[in-house]
Amino acid sequence: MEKTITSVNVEKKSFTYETQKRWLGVVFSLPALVLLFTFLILPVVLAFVYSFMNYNMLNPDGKEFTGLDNYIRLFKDAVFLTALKNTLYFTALVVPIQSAVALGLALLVNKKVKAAGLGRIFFFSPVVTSMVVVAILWTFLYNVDSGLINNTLNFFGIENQPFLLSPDQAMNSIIFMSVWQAAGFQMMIFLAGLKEVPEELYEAAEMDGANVWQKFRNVTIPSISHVTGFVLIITTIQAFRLFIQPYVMTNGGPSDSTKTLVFMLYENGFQFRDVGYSSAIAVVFFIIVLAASLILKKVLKQ
Amino acid sequence: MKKLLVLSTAAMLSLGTLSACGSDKNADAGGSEGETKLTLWYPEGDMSPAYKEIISQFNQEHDGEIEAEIEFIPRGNKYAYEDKVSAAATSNTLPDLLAMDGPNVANYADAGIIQPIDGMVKEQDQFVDSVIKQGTFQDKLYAVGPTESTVALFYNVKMLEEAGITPPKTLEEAWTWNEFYDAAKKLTNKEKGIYGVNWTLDYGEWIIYFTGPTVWSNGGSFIAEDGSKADGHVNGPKTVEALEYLQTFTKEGLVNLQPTPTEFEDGKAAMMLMGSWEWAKLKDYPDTEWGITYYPKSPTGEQVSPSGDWAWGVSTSAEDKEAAAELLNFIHTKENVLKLAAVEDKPPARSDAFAELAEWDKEPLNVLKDQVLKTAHPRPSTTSYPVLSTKYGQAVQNIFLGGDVQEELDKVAKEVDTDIERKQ
Repeated sequence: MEKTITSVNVEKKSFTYETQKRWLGVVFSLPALVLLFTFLILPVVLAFVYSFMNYNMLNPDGKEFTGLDNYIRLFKDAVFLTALKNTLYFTALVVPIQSAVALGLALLVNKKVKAAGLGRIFFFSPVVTSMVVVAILWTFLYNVDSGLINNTLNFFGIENQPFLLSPDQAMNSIIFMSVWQAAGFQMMIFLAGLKEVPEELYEAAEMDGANVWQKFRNVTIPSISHVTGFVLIITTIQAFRLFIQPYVMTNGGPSDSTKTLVFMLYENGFQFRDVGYSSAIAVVFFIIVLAASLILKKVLKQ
Repeated sequence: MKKLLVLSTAAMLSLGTLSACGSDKNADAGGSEGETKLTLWYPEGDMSPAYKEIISQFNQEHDGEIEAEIEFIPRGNKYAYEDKVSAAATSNTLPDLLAMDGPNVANYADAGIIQPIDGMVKEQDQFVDSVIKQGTFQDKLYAVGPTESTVALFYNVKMLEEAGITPPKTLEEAWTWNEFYDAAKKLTNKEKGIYGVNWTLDYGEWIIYFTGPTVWSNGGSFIAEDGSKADGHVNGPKTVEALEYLQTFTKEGLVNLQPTPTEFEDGKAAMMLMGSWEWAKLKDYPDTEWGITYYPKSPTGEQVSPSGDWAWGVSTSAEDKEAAAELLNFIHTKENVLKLAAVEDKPPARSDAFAELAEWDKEPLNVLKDQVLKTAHPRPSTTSYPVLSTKYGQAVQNIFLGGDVQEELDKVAKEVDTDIERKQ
C-alpha cells in the first residue's frame, strides 16, 4: 500500500516538474514570441494577402480582392523594370567594390602601429553617422557649380561634371558615396577575421620564401573565407534595400535613373496610398532577395 | 504557490509588453472627468509658436470644458506630413482637427477621413473665395484655413535698375512670357555667376504649385474638370507649350538648377519666383532693396496666380463635433487670423482681416493682395492628387534637365489615369 503511494507520488512529482519546466519556457519566451509574431510574421503574411487586393490606404474598409491584377500590372510597368534594373546594377557594383575596399582598409589598419587605431576611428566614423546626414552632405559635395568635388576637378583642369543631374552619372555618384559611407562597417568585420589568423601561418610562409602577395593570396584569403562569405551576404542584402540615398539626393531621378525597388514600394504605398500594389512589389522584392542570398550561399560553399 | 507566483508574474510581464503600446491614449482620455479632449496636427515650421499661443489661449477660455493639444509634425521638403496622415488613417489614430494642404481636401474627403463642415463655420461669407473653393469637394465644404498664399516675382531693385528694366506696377501691366524671358536674359551674367531668375526645385508640392499659373494662364490644365481623366490635359498641347516655355529658362542657363538656398538674397540671382511667405524672410536682408511684381502671364491668356494654403478640417474620428467646431472657429476669428497672417506676412483668408492691414494696400504687398483677391486659381480637385503632384513634379524635374516635354507629360497622364481607374 505504502509502496504504491510512493511510486505514484514520484511519478506525479516528475510529471509536474517536467510540465512546469516546459510551460515556464513557453511563458518566458512568450513576450518575445508575441512581438516577433506581431512585428515580423504578421506583416509578411499581411503583405502577401494585400498583394492580391485593391486597397486604398485611406479607405481600409473598401479593400477588395482583385486576384493577380497587381502582379499583372507590375510586370507591365516600365518603372518597375527600370527600378529592378537599377537595383541590380547598384548591387552588382557595390557588393564587390565595397567588400574589396573594406578588406583593403582592414589590412591597412591591422598593423601594430599607433596610427592604426586612429585609422580605424577615421574609417569607421561615417558608419556611425546617420545616412540622411551623409546624403545631404554629399549632395552639397556633388553640386555642379559650387560643389567641392567639381572645384577639385577644376583644379586639375577637368570640366564641371553634372553628377546627380545626369541620368548617366547619378547612380554611379550614389554608388561612390555609399561605398565611402558603409565600407567602415565591413572593415571591422574583416578586421576581426584578420585577428583570428594565427601568426605561425605567416611565419611558416615566410620560411618557405613567400612574398607579400603570396602570403595574402595563400594565407590570408583562405583563412578568412568564412568572414568573406558573411560580408558578401550582408552587403548584398543591404544593397538591395537601397532607399535613403536616392530619396534624399535625387528623388529617384533624373529620368528614374536612381529609382530602386524599395523607393518604388515607398512611393506607391505611402504617397499614392496604393497598399495592394506596393505589397505586390514587396512580395516580388522578397523573392528576389531570397533567391539572390540562396544563390550566393551556394556559390560561396563551392 | 510558488509555481503560481512565477507563472502569473511571467504572464503579467508578457501582458505588460502588449498593453504598453496602447496605454498612452487611455491615460490621456481619462485625465479629468467631464472635459473634452481635442487633438490637432499641423506641420512643424515658422507657424508653430503662433499656433501654440492660440491653443493655450483657447484652453484658458474653455478651462474645465475642452482641452486642446496641438502636435507639430515634421514635413521636410517632401510629403512626410502626408505620409503620417495616411498611416494614422489606417490605424485609426487621426487627430480631431487636421491641417492639410489645399489640394489634399478632395483626396481626404473622398476617402472619408474628414467630414463636411457645412454650417459649422461662423461668418463664412468673410472668407476669400479661393479658400472656400479649395476647401469644397462635391459641393460640400470640408476645410477652411486662416491664411492664403500665392507665388509672385520678387526682384532685386538695384539690379533691375542697373539693367534698365522697369517691372510692372499694376495688374494690367503684368509681364507677358516674352517680357519676363527678355528681362531674365538681360539680367543673367554668366561671367559673374549671376542668374536672371531663381526658382526652387524641391521634391514635394512646390513644383505643381509654382508652375501651375504658367499652365493655366496659357489655357492649359492638369486634369479634366470633374477629375475623371488626365490624358489630354496634363499632356495637352497648351500644357506642353507652357512647360516648353519654362524649359527655355533652364536650357539657356537663366536659372540655376542647383542653387544655394540664399542665392537670391546673396545677389547671385536678380529675380525669384517664390511664395508670398518669402517676404518675411527678405526682411532679414535690410541692406538690399526688394520689390515684388506679378506672376507673368501667357501672351494669349489671362492673368493667373496660384492659391491655397494649409487649411483645417475635422476628421471623421472626431467624436465631439460641437467642441471641434468651437475650436475651428476660434482659430479663424478675425484676431487670430491676423495673428497667424502676421507670422510670415501671409495674406489673411478673411476679407475683414485684410481690410485692417493698411500695409497690404501699398507697394509692394498690394501685388500679393491683388493676386489673392483677383487672380487666384486653386490647384486641381481630384482624388488622385498625390499621384498627379508627385509624378508631375518628377516630370518637370526631368524637363528642366533637358527631357522631352511631351514624352515626360505623357508618362504623367498614364500614371494618373491608372490611379483614377483603380479608385473607381
